[in-house]
Amino acid sequence: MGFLDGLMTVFQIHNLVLLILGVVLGIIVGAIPGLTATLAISLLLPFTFSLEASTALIMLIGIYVGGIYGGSITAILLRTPGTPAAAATSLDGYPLMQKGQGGRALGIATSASFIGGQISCIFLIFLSPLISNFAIKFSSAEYFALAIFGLTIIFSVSGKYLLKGVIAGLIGLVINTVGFDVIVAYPRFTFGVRSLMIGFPLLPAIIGLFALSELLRLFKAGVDDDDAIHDNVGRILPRWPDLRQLKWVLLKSSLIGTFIGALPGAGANIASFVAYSECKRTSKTPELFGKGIIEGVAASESANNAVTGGALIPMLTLGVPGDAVTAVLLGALTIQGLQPGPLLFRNNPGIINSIFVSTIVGNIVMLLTGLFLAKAIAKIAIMKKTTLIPIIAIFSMIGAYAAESSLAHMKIAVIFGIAGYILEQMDFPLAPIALSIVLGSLAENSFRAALIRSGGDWRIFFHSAISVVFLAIAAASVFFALRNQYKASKESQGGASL
Amino acid sequence: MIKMGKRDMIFGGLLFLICLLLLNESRNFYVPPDTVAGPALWPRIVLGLLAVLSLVLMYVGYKHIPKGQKENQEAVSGNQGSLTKKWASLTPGNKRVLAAMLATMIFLFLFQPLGFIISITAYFLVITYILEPTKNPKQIGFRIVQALALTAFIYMVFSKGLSVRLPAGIIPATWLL
Repeated sequence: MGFLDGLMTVFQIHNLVLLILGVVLGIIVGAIPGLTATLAISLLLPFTFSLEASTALIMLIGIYVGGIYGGSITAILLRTPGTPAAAATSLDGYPLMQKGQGGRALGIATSASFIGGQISCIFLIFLSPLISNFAIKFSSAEYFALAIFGLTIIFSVSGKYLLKGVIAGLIGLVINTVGFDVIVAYPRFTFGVRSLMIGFPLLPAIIGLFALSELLRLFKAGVDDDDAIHDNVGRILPRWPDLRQLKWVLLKSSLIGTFIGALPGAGANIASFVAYSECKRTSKTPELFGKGIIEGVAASESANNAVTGGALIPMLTLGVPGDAVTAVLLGALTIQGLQPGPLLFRNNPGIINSIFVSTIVGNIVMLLTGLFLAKAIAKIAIMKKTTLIPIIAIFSMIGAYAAESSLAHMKIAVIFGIAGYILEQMDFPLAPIALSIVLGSLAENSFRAALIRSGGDWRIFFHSAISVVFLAIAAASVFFALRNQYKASKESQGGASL
Repeated sequence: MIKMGKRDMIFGGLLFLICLLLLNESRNFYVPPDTVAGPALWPRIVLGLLAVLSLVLMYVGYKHIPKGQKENQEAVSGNQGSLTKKWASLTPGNKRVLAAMLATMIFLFLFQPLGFIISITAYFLVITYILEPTKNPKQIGFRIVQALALTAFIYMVFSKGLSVRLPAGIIPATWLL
């Protein structure tokens, strides 16, 4: 009965219109480099103050769902991830675009986002208490093991340049240590430069590494080779055989995304990389990852959208946000006079059911709008290079500036762009740097917190079964990657790979 | 032209030096009393690993330098010529990249003093010119229209739509309201 009430609330005409508006706004904001779902919700929050609680939450959830998906569009078309959560999507999405299969990648990304979102909704509705109880068992040691597990993707995304990939990953981890240390608030490696106190924020770093470095590569290529960046994007509507082929990838990545979403503090950025890594690790053709394979796009996109349902689990059941967006949503609930946590289920079942239904309907709207809009948005990729390249450059830099209205962020994006271009020219893969920047803080903070908690006893990382399993899988991934590299170098006998 | 092996050797060496510098800097970090995991612990682990791998990169880079080139390394690096000669020896693609980098640096420098309207319009025109130089007045006119339209679009999306405070610069802020 409660669920039906939720359905009736969401399908009231004004609520439905606001939900659709929220999804569309979310997609647009998510697709603009530098603007995230968190920012979109924060900016639109004041407009919801005057709305009824359920109406406000329905609209905000629409923005959340659309915003996480929107980042994938520019990640695929232009290697410019709209949000950090879409950085993993660009690893295979953009190579697919270069092969003339951009439409296929967009279709898969949209469907995967929809499936990931819906699977996480099922978990949100039926298994919320169970998952929250498991998630709160995660202490710093387990978080550290999860971060290390995620970081082992470096070994798989580096391809034949394994040494350079690992070096790039370590450079990312060093970059992450610049600025205030969060545990003792000590400025590290700032050399007296005030603007370095904040460190290197993720968003401008990702924009620089992926978008600006790619633009410099396009500058090098010039406009004489072909006029548009891509001739066509092909069919967007996903084919049934593709979806059938991806069924296990979608299921597994959605479960990973839901679970990581439910972990307080771990969001879509981490989920997409972990799912991508796990998908590649268990694939029969791992060597094709990074060269344009639909499994890579599906893994990343289903996981990052599955985070939407997952992150709502601890928010609704415990009053603890699963990620940055749900932290803002938590604020929205409080502003509306609601108390998130177990009492919310008892005192406001109507609100809970509206949230459940709006997440499901929001995902459906996202699928339809995504497939419909993708056709139009994909046309930007066939614009003239002389027009498109300056537009992307300006949007990327203003996007980096916009998140904090900070010129320092814009400078960071440019520095990362130039460094990324130079490193790529020297065959250093850029994905490990981005991955380390995403996971570095989680790895360091949980590592140190665990050691402080255990009084310096390193065995703490092997005390729980959860961390042992993560560390064992991570060690196995490294071992197999090194073995494969050794085999490959023996076969090529002095090949040029480093 | 620096070949790949030599480039890796140089990069590995630079990276190793940076690691040493940062490791040395980490000695100055504040260590809270009775702590087992201070702010220097993690950076030292990462930098230690990076230093070792940069040495490996130097070694592998050295192994990849062709024999004849190893002997002539110093002669090659010493014979670089003047800046104008260096510029002339660059490929058109590399010239475009360097020009785009320079234009971007100037844009960053002038973004706040000039304001977003002038700087974005000028930056658009400059990088479009770097990509495809033209003297055709019709084409230049079209590009100016494109630049102004893009600036207006950015103003509408970021400033009006998302309340992002873009610098007004020399244009009075009241004009933008």
